[in-house]
Amino acid sequence: MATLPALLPHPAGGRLVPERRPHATSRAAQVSFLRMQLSGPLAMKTMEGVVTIVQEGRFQLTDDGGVSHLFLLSHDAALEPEQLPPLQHRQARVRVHYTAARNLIALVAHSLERADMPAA
Amino acid sequence: MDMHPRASEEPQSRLDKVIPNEAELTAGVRIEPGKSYGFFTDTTLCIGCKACEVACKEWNNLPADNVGITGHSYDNTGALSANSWRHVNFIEQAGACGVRENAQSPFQSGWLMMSDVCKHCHNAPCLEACPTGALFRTEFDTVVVQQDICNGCGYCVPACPFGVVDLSELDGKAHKCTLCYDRLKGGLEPACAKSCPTDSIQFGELEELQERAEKRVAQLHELGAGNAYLYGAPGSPGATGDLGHLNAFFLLTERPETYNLPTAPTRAANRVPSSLGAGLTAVAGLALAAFAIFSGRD
Amino acid sequence: MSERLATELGPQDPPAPPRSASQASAPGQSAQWDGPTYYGRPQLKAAPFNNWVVGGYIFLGGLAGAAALLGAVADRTRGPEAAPTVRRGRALSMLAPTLGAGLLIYDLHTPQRFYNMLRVAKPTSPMSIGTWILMSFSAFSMLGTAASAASRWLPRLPFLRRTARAAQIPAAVTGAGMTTYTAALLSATSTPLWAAAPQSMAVRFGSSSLAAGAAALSMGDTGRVGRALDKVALLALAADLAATCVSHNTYRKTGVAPALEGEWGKLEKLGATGLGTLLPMGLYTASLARGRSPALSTLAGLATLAGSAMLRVSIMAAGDESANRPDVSFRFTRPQNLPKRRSRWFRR
Repeated sequence: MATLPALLPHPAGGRLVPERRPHATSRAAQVSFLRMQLSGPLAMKTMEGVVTIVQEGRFQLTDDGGVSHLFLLSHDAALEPEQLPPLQHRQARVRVHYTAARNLIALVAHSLERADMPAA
Repeated sequence: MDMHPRASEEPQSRLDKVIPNEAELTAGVRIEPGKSYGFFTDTTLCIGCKACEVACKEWNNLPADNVGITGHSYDNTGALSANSWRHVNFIEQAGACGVRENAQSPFQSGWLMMSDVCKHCHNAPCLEACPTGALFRTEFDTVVVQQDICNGCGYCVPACPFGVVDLSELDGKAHKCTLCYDRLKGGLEPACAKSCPTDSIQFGELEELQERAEKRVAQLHELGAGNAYLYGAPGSPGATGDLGHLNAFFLLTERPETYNLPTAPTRAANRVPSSLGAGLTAVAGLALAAFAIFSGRD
Repeated sequence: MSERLATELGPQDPPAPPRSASQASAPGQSAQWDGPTYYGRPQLKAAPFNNWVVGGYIFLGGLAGAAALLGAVADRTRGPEAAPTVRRGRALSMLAPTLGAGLLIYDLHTPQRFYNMLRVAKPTSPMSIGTWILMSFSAFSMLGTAASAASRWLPRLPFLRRTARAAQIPAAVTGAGMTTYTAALLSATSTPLWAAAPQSMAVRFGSSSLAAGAAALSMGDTGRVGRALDKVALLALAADLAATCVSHNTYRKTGVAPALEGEWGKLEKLGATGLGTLLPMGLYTASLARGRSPALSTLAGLATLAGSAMLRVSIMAAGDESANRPDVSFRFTRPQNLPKRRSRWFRR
């Protein structure tokens, strides 16, 4: 079986096979880079919704439109994994501050706070 | 098909009710703490559907890696990683000059498929390497990383002789297959074993699985597939170097390197005493020599 | 048609050739694995450590431990004559609890949980053993430095001087551990280059640390203690050279030598062995032959320190390469490389 030509476009731009994950130096650079981002795909955003599924340090948030999103707790998040199951048991409504992650269909949660129901 | 008598007691599935001891119905095994559980993966039955990969991601709420197309047969996952705890290997075996052979061994058409997973080794190098105690042995004889203790030192990553456990740069902790620890506690079999349509991934008590596997190898040899063997059973390739045995073991038909598995991995911790001993002896010797040099007249 | 079975031919893509032009590590031996690989993908995962940060810690930790050890030896044998050396030794030993520990915490991927390292003491994990060696070495060297500094300001309290002297011995013993446990840490993994020669790598790391410690203590020393330190450095470098030859031979025998054919392997040969061992050996010999020339000794000292740092970083980077190359890792996990004797330790 012939391998696909290297010119096949890749969604993330140019690479057929993912590279090794970046080294710690570029991770430090990545973190500071994220902090500086005020706009663009890696900027910090906010989402409100209900915590529906929790597994280890990952949780699913169902927003008001009924769309579910998968979140990972960032390594420097203000929350520990063991604080997530009580939120799921209560089906708590929260506001999450998050950034997107490259090459991953998930969002990285940096902080969480209680949110009230939207006005009817 | 005969319905298990207990299944008829559950007329409809309700989200808030779970069938108690569901693993008895689906896998024929009652899950009790204190016994050894694992996987027997019979690669001669695998059809490469990747239901195991999907079920694992669904149950464990793992994100999808946007890896694109690799061009390596149907394998677009690539390898086990922090977000992929089941990975199906595809190996298309062509003859010389790209022409397939006409005579091929029975039960394998020259296209090998194998669902790779954490081996949950008896003497797990990752567990022995972990300096925080995050990696521990559960009551079901499986190896699990506790996410609230792991501080992301990453020492388990090079310790694993199979390249399984991985560190996530995003959440800063190590991840690997948990053998669905939460499902086992609820009496359910792991998600991948439950979803496998051909029962290539068989879940059960380890001794029973090993007996079943040996019978299967004998059956395959009788049918002419002489190259079938066990990988990870006691005394087989993969269970070498004081690793003991692998709780998740395989039936393979080619040499292990074809499936990206090592033939003779070793238990890393066995190197500690000899290394420390040699180093400390050398330093002690040099210190004594220094003592002599300092004490001597110039 | 051909003699080989279809089952012996691997996937379409052969493993990537090493970056260096030389393919063979010895005449008649192919450096490449002639069995199958899985599309040339790595079979293992390389350590996620930042090689400069962790390599830097290994160098600083070894230097601090050796300085404490040699400072204790100098104090016990030469007494007041060696007072400046002992003071320098205490200052160098403070590198481990400050800069060294800082580098380690920085490299954690969840650094706010660094204290979880203190939850267990696991004899199978050199990282756990090392955590406790670092803790105890830091405690004793900080105690000794504080007591010795305090005794200079408060000379009327003799117990401070006695405490400082008493703390030297445990600091020296744990310092000896600091110089060499990191080699056991690298060996207790499945990375082929590190796992292939655990004993000779431990001797290399230990003697390189001692040479670095002696070099750092002797630089700028104009007295007779400097001569003794130079001799110690020369002896340690000779031990380092011997261990280097043994480990390279072991790498060839176990089949992991191709990992040293790339850039990092060259750096290990030129930087660690050439600049870091052979050059200072020559310079120290020349200096001692002239009755110790401070200039030559200082030059030799700088080369030793640079070489010791380069050794750690290049071994770590070359090890990562060996983990990423399936041809190397499959050659290492052949049945003939299994240990001949079953280990007596850690029986289950």
